[in-house]
Amino acid sequence: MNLRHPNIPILYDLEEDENYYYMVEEYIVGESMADYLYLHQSISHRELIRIAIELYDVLDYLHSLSIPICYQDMKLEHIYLSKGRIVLIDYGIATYLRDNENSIYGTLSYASEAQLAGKCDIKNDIYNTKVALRRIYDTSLQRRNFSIERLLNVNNNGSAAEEKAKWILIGDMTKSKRFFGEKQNRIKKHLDVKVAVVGNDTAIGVSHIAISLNCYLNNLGIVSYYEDYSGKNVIENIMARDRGFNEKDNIIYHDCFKGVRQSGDAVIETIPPKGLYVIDCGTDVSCAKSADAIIYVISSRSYKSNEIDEIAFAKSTQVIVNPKSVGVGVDVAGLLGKKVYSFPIDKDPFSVTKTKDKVLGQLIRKLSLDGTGSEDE
Amino acid sequence: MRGKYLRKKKKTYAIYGMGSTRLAIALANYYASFLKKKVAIAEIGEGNLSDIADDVQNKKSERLTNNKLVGFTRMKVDYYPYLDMDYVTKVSNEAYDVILWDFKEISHDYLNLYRYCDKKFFLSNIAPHNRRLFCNTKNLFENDAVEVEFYCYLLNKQDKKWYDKTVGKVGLFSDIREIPFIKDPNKLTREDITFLEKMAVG
Repeated sequence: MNLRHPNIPILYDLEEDENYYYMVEEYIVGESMADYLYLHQSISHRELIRIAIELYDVLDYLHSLSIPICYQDMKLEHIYLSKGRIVLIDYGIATYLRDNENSIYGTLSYASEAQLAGKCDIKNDIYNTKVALRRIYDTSLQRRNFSIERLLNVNNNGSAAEEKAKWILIGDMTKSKRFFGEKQNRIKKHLDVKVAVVGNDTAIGVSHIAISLNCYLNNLGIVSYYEDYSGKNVIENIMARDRGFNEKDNIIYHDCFKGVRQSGDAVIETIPPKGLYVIDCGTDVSCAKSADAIIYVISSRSYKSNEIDEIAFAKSTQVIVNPKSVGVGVDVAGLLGKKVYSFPIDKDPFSVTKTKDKVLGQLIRKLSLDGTGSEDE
Repeated sequence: MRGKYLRKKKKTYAIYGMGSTRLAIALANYYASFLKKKVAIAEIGEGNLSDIADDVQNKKSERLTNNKLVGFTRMKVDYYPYLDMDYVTKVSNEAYDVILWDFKEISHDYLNLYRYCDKKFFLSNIAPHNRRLFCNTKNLFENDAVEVEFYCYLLNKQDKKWYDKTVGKVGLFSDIREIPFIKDPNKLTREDITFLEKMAVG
């Protein structure tokens, strides 16, 4: 049977010799869902909805053929992301639907009870797809604002067409902004925005705060990238010390951290991704001026706490006194006429702790990312 | 705790053969631009490294004079063209993370320096017209027991066959690796970086 579907690889030719069968298939450029999640650890809700719709579309096609085909091996490794589309690969154990089939096929961790009992049924495919979608959802860091419990009610095994219709409905609802609520609107506003972190002295934790902010935002589901303009080679130094990093297309991944590596003149640079950028300016105030929002770090050392740049007085600039000092904090707050924050003492900038969460959450709420100043100031 | 204060060991690379300057510049740019290291290229013997300094007037490069060493800086890489053996120690004592020695000739004097480098590259071509030269250099290295990493340009099946038959899979020249064409060593692409990364580490 000749299968023709945009999400199924094209089979060009079939050959055989004495020992083997050979299949000539379409070459698919891309990466599997498992690899993608391992590298990025996050996927947007819209993407998840799109993947679900496309997967159910393929299953609907396979199940609605004159002799229905049971795919039987839905898993993240078989879902390929290729040039903006999903391709479902590996039809090695796919079979025509027969009642008398009594062999166990599939992947154990995705299999349904009926599948383990050796029963071939199209509902097994629906079950496997739901398990795969659940895994994508669980691995993704962007799941906080989105609940898919009612969509992944695994007991409710409807047809693939019904499942697809449900996801399309959810997709339409997200377009009308009802599903995600106000929080998603606020996140959308942050796209393509630069937040600069700058200090009035060296060794007062400017890079630390910038990295923490980046991790916090990524953990929250806002895709942000750390960029180093301080000239201290922060990313290279971190990479030299810690080995748990992945690098792809000039972007460094480490837990929630995403950093754009800056190459010198001798390297042809790749196009930077779109998103929110947390810029570590070190002590360079001129670099921070072009940013949409500024976090100004003031040293609590007595000889430096009075040397405050003009940008700290701007309404939209948020101020942190670091290391924590109540006395200096009160003085600076009086001088600037606004609230001043202190950053908790912390060893690991990549970890998102409760205390950091609290401070950074307050800062982000106060930061006006369109540069007009927050209303409750 | 003592180890913490010990000076970081600098890496030294020796490069000799066809296209050594191009590879040295590419490696230096990889270290300086991509890994942000302090790098120097020193040319041992008379070569064409000084030709790159022509655009000093055009302000692409800066003249460099320190510790009686004369050279130029370009894209954060220090170049020391036509270096005499007397100045080798001076360059070695400078605070560089990586030093690339670009050998223009190999004699017994230079072989000692070559031997003490962390990595030694020998670049050649084993096309029929070039095989005699390759064999002479190979013998020189083998006689002095200098273990080099051999990189070959435009390796085809016939050359590989000749190599396996003549050189064999035993001895210092057991491994043969192909070196890709680096189009512009001052504008490295992603593929170039992948190759240089492998070359520098592996």
